[in-house]
Amino acid sequence: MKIRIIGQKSLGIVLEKLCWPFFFLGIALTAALPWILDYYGRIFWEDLGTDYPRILAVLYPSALMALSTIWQLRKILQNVNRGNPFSLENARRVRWISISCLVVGILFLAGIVPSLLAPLLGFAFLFLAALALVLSELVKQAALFKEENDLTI
Amino acid sequence: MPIIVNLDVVMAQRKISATQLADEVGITLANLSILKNNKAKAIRFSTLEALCRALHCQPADLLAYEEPSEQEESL
Repeated sequence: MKIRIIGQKSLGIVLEKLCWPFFFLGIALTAALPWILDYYGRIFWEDLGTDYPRILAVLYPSALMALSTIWQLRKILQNVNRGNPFSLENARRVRWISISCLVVGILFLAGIVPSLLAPLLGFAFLFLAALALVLSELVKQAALFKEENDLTI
Repeated sequence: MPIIVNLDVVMAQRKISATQLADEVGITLANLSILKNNKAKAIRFSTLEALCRALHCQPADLLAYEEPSEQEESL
C-alpha cells in the first residue's frame, strides 16, 4: 500500500488536522500550568517553595511559544497540502518557529530553572532554532527559484 | 526591467488574437499574458523561436532595450 505524503487524503492532511487537538490541548495545559506544576512539585520535590514562581516564569512563555509553533506548523502544512510549499509566507513561518525555539532555549539557559536538565534542554532548543533558521532560508531560496521558474516562459 | 516585450505591438500588426497565438506557440493564455504585460523574468529560446515562427518576425521585433531612468536605477 502506498501512502500519499501530501495533497488530498494524505499524511499531510492527517497531520494538519491533528494540529487542532494538539493546539487545544496546549491551551488547556497552559491554562492549567500553575496547578500541574504544583501537583508535580508535591510529588517529586515535596515543596517547590521559592522555585515555584521561577519555574512558572520559564514554563509560561515556553508554553506560549509551543502554541505559536503548533499554529505555524498547521499553516505550513495547509500551504503544503494546497500545493504551495515553496512560498515566502512559509519561509517567514519557519523563521518564526526558529525565533520561538531561540526564546525557549535562552529561557532554559538563563539558569532560572534549578535543574540539571534545563541547560541540556536549552542547548537542544538552540540547536533546533539554528536548524529552523537554516530551513527557513532554504524555503526562501526555493520560493525565489520557483518564482523565477514560474515567470520563465 | 529595461527589457521590453513588444508582443502586443507585433500581434496588432499581424492581426492575431492572444488565443490564436497561444495555440500556435503552444503556451497557455496565462503565460502569454505574463509575456505581454512585461511580467516575465526570462524567455526560453524555444518560446522565442515559436513566437518568431508564428508571427513571422525576428527576435529584435519582439524585444527592445530601454535605458532605465535615474529614478529606476536608484531603486
